[in-house]
Amino acid sequence: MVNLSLQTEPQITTVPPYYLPPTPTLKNYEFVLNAEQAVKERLKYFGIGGEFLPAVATQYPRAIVNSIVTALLIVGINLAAGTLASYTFTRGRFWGRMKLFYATIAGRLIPPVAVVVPYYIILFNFKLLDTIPAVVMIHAYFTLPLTIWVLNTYLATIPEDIEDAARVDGYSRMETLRKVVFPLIKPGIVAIGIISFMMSWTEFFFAFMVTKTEAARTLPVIVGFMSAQPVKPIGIIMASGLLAMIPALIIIAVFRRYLIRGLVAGAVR
Amino acid sequence: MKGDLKDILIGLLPALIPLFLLGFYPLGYAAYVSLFRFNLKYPDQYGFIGGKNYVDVTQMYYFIGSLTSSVIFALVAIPIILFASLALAMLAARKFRGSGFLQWLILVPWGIPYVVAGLDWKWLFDSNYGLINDILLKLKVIDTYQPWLTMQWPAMFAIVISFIWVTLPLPTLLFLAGIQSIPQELYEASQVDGAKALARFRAITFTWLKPIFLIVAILTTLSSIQVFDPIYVITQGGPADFTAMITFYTFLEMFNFLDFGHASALAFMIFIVSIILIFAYFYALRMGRLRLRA
Repeated sequence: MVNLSLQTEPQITTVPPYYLPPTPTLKNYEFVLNAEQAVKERLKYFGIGGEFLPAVATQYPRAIVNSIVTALLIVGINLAAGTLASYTFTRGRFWGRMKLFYATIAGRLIPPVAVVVPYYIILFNFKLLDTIPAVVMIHAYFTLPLTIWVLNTYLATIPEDIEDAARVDGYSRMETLRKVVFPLIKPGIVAIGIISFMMSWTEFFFAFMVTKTEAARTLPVIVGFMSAQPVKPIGIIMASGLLAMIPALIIIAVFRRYLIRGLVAGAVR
Repeated sequence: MKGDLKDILIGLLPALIPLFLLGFYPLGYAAYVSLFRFNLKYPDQYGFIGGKNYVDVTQMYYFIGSLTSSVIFALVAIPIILFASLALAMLAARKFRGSGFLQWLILVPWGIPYVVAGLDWKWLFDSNYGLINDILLKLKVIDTYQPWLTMQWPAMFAIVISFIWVTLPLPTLLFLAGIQSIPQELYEASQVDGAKALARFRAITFTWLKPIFLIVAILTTLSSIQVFDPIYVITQGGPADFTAMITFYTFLEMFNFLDFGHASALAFMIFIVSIILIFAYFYALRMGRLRLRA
């Protein structure tokens, strides 16, 4: 993939294929970020009726912003709502809490194709179709069950005595959560944050279905669209795919240790 | 500890609103629609028909075929992912030079959208410019370039492999975390007792990892039953519908044939099968019921 992204179009379509780019070029990356220039150069090179660039390619820079915004919002929602819900499930004693917990986990079992049309209707009614909040809501729905489940196993390892002590000292329940429990489960929180980021970042199907214009399309949607064209500039697509991976790679490289440590205490038992 | 109502509401509502609004309400809607004749091509025929959609879809021309390909896909992908991720995790858990890099390398595909991964493999298997053809030709396995994606098994293989590539990191990560939490004393004790490597693996590693095995098995099964993106990108269900799995036909029923009743019936069946499989896993690993820990 890296290989292809560094080759020019004619080099890519040679037989036998190159294992390494003969003349590495960053042209494709430039094209991804600046579609208009790409169109001009390609016209010059291939002439009219030759290779063309899918129109959605112009939406790429906007899609980067969309993807980042969506994924960060998802991380925020998972950290806030997920922690709150998981904590309430773990410590609260109320009627029907087991049933509610099962229902929460079962939410993960729903096949995406089953719910996509109802989504369309719901979002249409709320006038949310083709907006970032819509994509965020949907991603929140399918990341939260896993968050709640993993954090539950994690929270269960924290002795309740610590919290009781804090409560005796006059903290309210929310203060206890914020000042006592939260620091203790930080590794788990980091792990959850990353997992939800990844899920949101790579999700294609829902984002594909509920977006129509560049206002809310995320990166996988753009790449998917480009690849659905009958004639595709494979080098540019590969470059765009690679660019789409970069944030994920950085996050993995930076947080790998925390990720594993966070899950060591949490996902087990 | 008695929690008061206000705290519980504050705690649960932010998470449960999206969950129920976008999870169970649509599912209920799908279940409801599945009982109706609801085809956008024949809007005048809208009406309640009970379980007829369910009977209809089982008799559709694609039903057996797509079910078979779904089963093939699941039977190939799930065991490979389970065992490969366990093996990789055991490898990455060792301390040696570059183990950090290995862990990073294993996790990288996680950041790849399925769409991109699918494209990638599609190109590798390309009939004219793909590397696979070239490598096999040089190794003298094949005489001429082969149009892999127009052949049934290679096409299935391409989908399976791109799916595995992207799905593998999360199970590996979970196993890795599990392995690192095994107390070293257990191994030392077993060494004193003179246990062989295999016995050690069975008695300690596997036993300790059982709960994670369960989580991984469930996640993998779900994602492989509901697999869609790689099919859409790589083969669009071809050749001759060999890779058109049941999810793909649900999609077609909905967006190409515009028969929402049929599509909902199919989707609801997938949901039921998922639940049955999950209970089967709990039973097989004898974990008892899924429980909330406090």
